[in-house]
Amino acid sequence: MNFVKLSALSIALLALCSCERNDIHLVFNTQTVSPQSFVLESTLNASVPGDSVTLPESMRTHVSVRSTMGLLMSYDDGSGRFEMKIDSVDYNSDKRSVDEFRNIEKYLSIQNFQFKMDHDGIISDPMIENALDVASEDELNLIPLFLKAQPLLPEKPVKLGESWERQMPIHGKGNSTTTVYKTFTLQDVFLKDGVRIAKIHMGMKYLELPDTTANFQLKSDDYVVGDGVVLFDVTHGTLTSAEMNIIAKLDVRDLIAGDTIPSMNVNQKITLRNLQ
Amino acid sequence: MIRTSNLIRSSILALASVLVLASSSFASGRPFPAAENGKVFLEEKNSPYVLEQGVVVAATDSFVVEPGVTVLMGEFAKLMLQGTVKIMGSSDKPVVFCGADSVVNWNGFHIMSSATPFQIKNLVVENAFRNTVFRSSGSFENVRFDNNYYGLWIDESPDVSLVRCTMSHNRYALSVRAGRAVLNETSISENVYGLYLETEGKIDGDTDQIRNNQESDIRSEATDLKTSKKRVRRNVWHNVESFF
Repeated sequence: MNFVKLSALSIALLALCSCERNDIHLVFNTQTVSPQSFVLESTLNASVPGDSVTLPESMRTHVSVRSTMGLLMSYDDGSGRFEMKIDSVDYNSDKRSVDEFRNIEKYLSIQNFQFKMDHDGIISDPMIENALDVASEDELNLIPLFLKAQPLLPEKPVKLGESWERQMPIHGKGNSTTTVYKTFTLQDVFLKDGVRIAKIHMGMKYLELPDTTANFQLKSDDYVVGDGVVLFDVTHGTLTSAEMNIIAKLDVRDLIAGDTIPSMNVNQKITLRNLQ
Repeated sequence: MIRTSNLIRSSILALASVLVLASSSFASGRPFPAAENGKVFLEEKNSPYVLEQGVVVAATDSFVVEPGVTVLMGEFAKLMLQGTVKIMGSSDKPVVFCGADSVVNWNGFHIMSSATPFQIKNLVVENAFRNTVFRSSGSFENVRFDNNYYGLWIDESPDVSLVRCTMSHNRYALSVRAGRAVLNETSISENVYGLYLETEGKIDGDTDQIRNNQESDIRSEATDLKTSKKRVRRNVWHNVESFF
C-alpha cells in the first residue's frame, strides 16, 4: 500500500516538475539591471510607381544609433524608469545632402529619452529628456522606432509554441497616437554561453490613421503589417535582439499643396541589438 | 567601499567638469537669460550672450533684443521663438547671431509667432544650419544672412517681407516652401542657390537683385519635377520619413 502511495506521489511530483520546466517565465529585469549598450537601426525604403506621365520614384534612408540604456529608478509595482542615452548617430538618405545628414546626426545625438517600463515590456510615458530639444515639425524622432521594435512579454508563464497578444500606443508627430497590436509566439528556448535564450516570433499590425490636425497626413486603407524575431535573455531578463520588418501601403496627403500621392509603398526594417 | 569611493570620484569629476564648462561659458559671454515678467530681453550692456542648447521663448513671452547685442551660438543652439519677436538693431549697432565656433554650424532661429507679426531690423545671422519662419508673418529689414546652409526658409507663411536684406555665401539663400515672400531691394548673390521655390511657394516684389549665384539664381521645384518626370516633392519624402 505504502509502495503504491509512494509511486503515485512520485509520478504526481514528476508531472508537476516537468510542467513547470515547460513553462517559461519571460520578464524584463526592471529592478536591478545594469546599464546595457544597444544599437538601434532603421532602414526605410519608400517608392511610388510610375504612370503615363511620371517615372517611378523611391527614397532610401538609414539611421544607426548607438545608445546606453540605464535604470534610473525601480518602483514597488515592479516597473522601472529607464534612460536611453544616445552615444552616437550615423544617418544617410538619398533625398538629403551630406550637410543635412550631419545636422540630423547632431540633433539626434542629444535626443536622450526616458520611459517607464513594466516587467512585461509595456512602455509608458516616453519623453525626450530636454523638452527644449523636442523635434521640430519635420525632424526625426527616435522614440517611435524604439517602440516599434520593443517586444511585449506575456502576463503569465508560457510553453513552447504558445502565443500571446498585446497592444501598445505609439505617439507620433503632433496629436497622433497609433495603437499597435503585436502578436508573439514562443518558438524555442536554448542555452547560449550558459545563458537561457528565448526565441520569439513577433508580428505587428496597425492602421495608419491621419492626424486630422496636421497638414501632412498618412493613411493606410489596409493594415500596416510587421514581422520579426526577438531573442530574449531569460536568465538576465534583458533583450538580446529584436528585428521588425514593416510593410505598408500609404496614401500621402499634403493639405497645403492640395496634393495626394496614393499607394506609396513603404518598407521599414528596424533592429535593436544588445551589445553585451 | 569601492562604490562609495567611485561615487566620490565621479562627483568630483562632475563638479570639475561643471566648473570648467561654467568658466569657459562665462569667459566668452553671459548665459542666455530666461523670461522675466513675460519677456526675454537681451541688452547691449550684457552682450555677448552665449546660447549652448535649444531654447524656447513661449507664446506668452516676448523676445526683445536691443541694438549692439551679439549672441554666440553653441553647436547645439536652437532658438525657437513662439511669442512676439522684436529684434531692433541699428545700422551702426546691428544685432549679431553667430556661431561661437566659426567652423561649426548652430541649428538656427525658428520663428513660430503666429499671433503678432515679427519685426526684425539690422540683424546679422551667420553659420546657422537653417533659419525658419513657420506659420508667421512679419518683416526683415536690413538683415544680412551670411554663410548659412539655409539662409531663410519660409513655410506656411503668407506674408513675409524682406526689405534691403542681403543674402550671400549660403547654400540655399532663400527657400519658400509654402507661402509668399515679398522682396524689396533685397540682394541675393554669391550663394550656391539663390531662390528656391517649392511647389506652393510664391515670390513678389523685385527679383532683379537675385543674381551671380553659382548653381542657379531662381530654381523652381515644379519645373524641376516636370523636367525630370517626377511628382514627389522633396518635402513629401522628408515628411514620410519623419511621420512614419
